[in-house]
Amino acid sequence: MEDDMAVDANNEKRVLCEKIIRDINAVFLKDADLASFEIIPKETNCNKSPVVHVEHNLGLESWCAQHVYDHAHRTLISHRRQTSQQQLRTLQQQQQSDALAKYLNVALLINPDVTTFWHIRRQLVQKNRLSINKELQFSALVLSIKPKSNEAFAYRRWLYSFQSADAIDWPNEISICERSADRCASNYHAWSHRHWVLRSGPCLLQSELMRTEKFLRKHISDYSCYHYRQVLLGRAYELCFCMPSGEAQPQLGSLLELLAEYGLPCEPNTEALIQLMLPHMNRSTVSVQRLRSFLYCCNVAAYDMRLCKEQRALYGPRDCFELHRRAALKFIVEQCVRLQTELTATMDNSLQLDKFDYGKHPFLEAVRQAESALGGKHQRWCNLHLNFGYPVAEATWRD
Amino acid sequence: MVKLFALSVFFKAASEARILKTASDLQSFSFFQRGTVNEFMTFASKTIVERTQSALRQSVKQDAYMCHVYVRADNLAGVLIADHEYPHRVAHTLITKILDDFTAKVSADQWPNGTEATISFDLLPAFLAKYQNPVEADPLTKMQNDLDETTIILKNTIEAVLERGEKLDDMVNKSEKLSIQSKAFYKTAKKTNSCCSFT
Repeated sequence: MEDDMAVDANNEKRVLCEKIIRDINAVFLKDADLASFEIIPKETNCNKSPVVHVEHNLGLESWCAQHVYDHAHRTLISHRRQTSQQQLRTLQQQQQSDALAKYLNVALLINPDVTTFWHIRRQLVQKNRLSINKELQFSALVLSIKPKSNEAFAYRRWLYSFQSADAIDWPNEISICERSADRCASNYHAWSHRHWVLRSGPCLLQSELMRTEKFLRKHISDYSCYHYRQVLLGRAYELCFCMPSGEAQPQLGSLLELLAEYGLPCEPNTEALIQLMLPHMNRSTVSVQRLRSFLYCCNVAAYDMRLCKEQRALYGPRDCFELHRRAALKFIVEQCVRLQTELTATMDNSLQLDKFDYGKHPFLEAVRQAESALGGKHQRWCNLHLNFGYPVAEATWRD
Repeated sequence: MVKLFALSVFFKAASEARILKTASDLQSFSFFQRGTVNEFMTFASKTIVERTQSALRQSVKQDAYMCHVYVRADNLAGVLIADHEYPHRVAHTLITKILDDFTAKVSADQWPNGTEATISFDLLPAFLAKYQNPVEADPLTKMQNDLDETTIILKNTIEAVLERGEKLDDMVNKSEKLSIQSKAFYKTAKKTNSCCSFT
C-alpha cells in the first residue's frame, strides 16, 4: 500500500517535471530573442506555472528547480547509457536526439558546469541535429545566468571553428565578453575569450582601445581590464598599427604633455619627437610605418599614465592605477631602448636592458631622474624591470 | 565598479520618514530581481533616514553597497545609494546639491504632507544619469569646499545604524512595504550569501 503511494507520488512528480520542461521548451520555440534566464527565489508552489516569461526574460521559480534538474539529469544519463550499450537504428536515434534538446536546455541553464551535457550538445551539432546559430544563442543565454562559465565560452569557440571568419559577428562577441565582465569582476574566462577574439578576429584595435578605456573608468579596480589593455597596446605595436593615414597630423598631445612633465618641452611635430626620443637610432633600419606606430603607441601609453594619475586623484591610491602606470612606462622605455639597440629585426624578448647606458640618452635619463621621486618601492621596481640603477640603501630593502 | 543605483529625497517627521521623490537605475541587476532590489533600496533608505539625527551625515556600508545619507537641520533628507567605490566626498556633495535644488523648487510647507505624486520635482533621473561618472561632479566639489569629510560618520553595516534591540531580520519580516517575494529573496540571499544580496 505504502509502496503504491510512493510510486504514485513519483509519477506525479515526473509528470509535473515533464510539464515544466515542456513549458520552458515552448518559450524557447516562441521567443527567438530570449535575452536572459534566472532562477527566481520562491519557496512554495502557488499552484501556477513556475515558468515566467516577460519581455524576452525567462525565469524559473526556485522551488521546482531541483526537481526539474534531477529529472532532466536522470533522463539524459539514462539515454546516454542506452546509446552506448545498444546500437539504436538511425531513425530511432534521430527521434530521440530531437527530444533530448529540451532536457539539455533545462539542465544546462540550471547547472551550466556539467561538461557531459555540453559534450552531448557537441555530438548533436556534429550530427546536424542542432543549428549553430541557435547554439550560439543558447550559450549566450547561459552566460546571462553564469557570466563566468568557461564551458559556455569554450563551446562558442568550438562552434566558430565551423564558420569562416568573415561570417562571424565579432562586435557581438566583444559585447558578450563585455557584458559578462561587467556582471562579474575579474572574470578570467570572459577576458581570455576576448583575447581569443582579438587574435582571431579582424583588426578591432581602435574600437577596443576606446571600449576598454570606458570600461576601466567604471571598473576601477578590475585589473583584468587593465591587463587586457596592456596586451592591446603590445599587439598594436607588433602590428605596426597607427591611426588611418587620412589624418595629416597624428594626435600626439598626451605624449607631448608627458615629455613636458619630464622637463623636455618639444615642438609638436613628428620629426622633433623622434629626434628627442630616439636620438641614437639608425634610420636606415627602421621603416616609416614603424616610427609612426611607435609614436602612436607611446601616445596611448602616455595617455594611460595620465589617466592613472587622474584616477588616483579622484579615488585615492589603488594597486591598479600604480601597476598600470608602471606597465605603460615600461612600454615606452622598452620600445625606446629596442629601437636604438637595433634589436628590431628579431623582436626577441631577451631585451638586454642591463647593457643599455641611460646616461648617454637625454630623454631616458630625464625619465630616470623624474621617476626616482616616486618613492623607494617604485625605485626598486624600476631597478628590477628597467635597470635604472638607482642606488638602493641596504635598509630600504626591508621596508 | 563605480555606479550610482538610487537617489531619494525624504522628509523626516517625528514618527517616520516620508518619501518625497526617488529615482533608481537598476539595469545592472538581472531582470526579475529589479523589483525586489528597488523595494529593498527604498526600505534601507527609509530605515537609515529614520535613524540619523538631524544635521548629520552618514555613510553606511552593506555588502558591496554604500548608502550615503544627509539629514538637514530642517529635517529634509537625501539618500544616495552607490557602489562602494563611488567617491564618498562626491556622493555627499551631490546630496547637498540635490537638497538645495529641491528646496528651491518645492516650498517647505509641502514637505510634511507630500507624497511622490504631489511633489513636482523631476530632476532626479537626470542627476542619476549625469553623475554616474563622478568626474562630472568635479566642478561641484570645487564649489563646495566647505564639506568637511571628517564630519561624515562611517558605519560598516546597516545593523550598526539600528537602535538597541532592533534586528534587521525582524524589521524585514515585519515591514509592510516589502512584498512576500522580496522577503523570499532576502532569505535566499542571506542563506547563500551570494553576490545578489541586497542593501
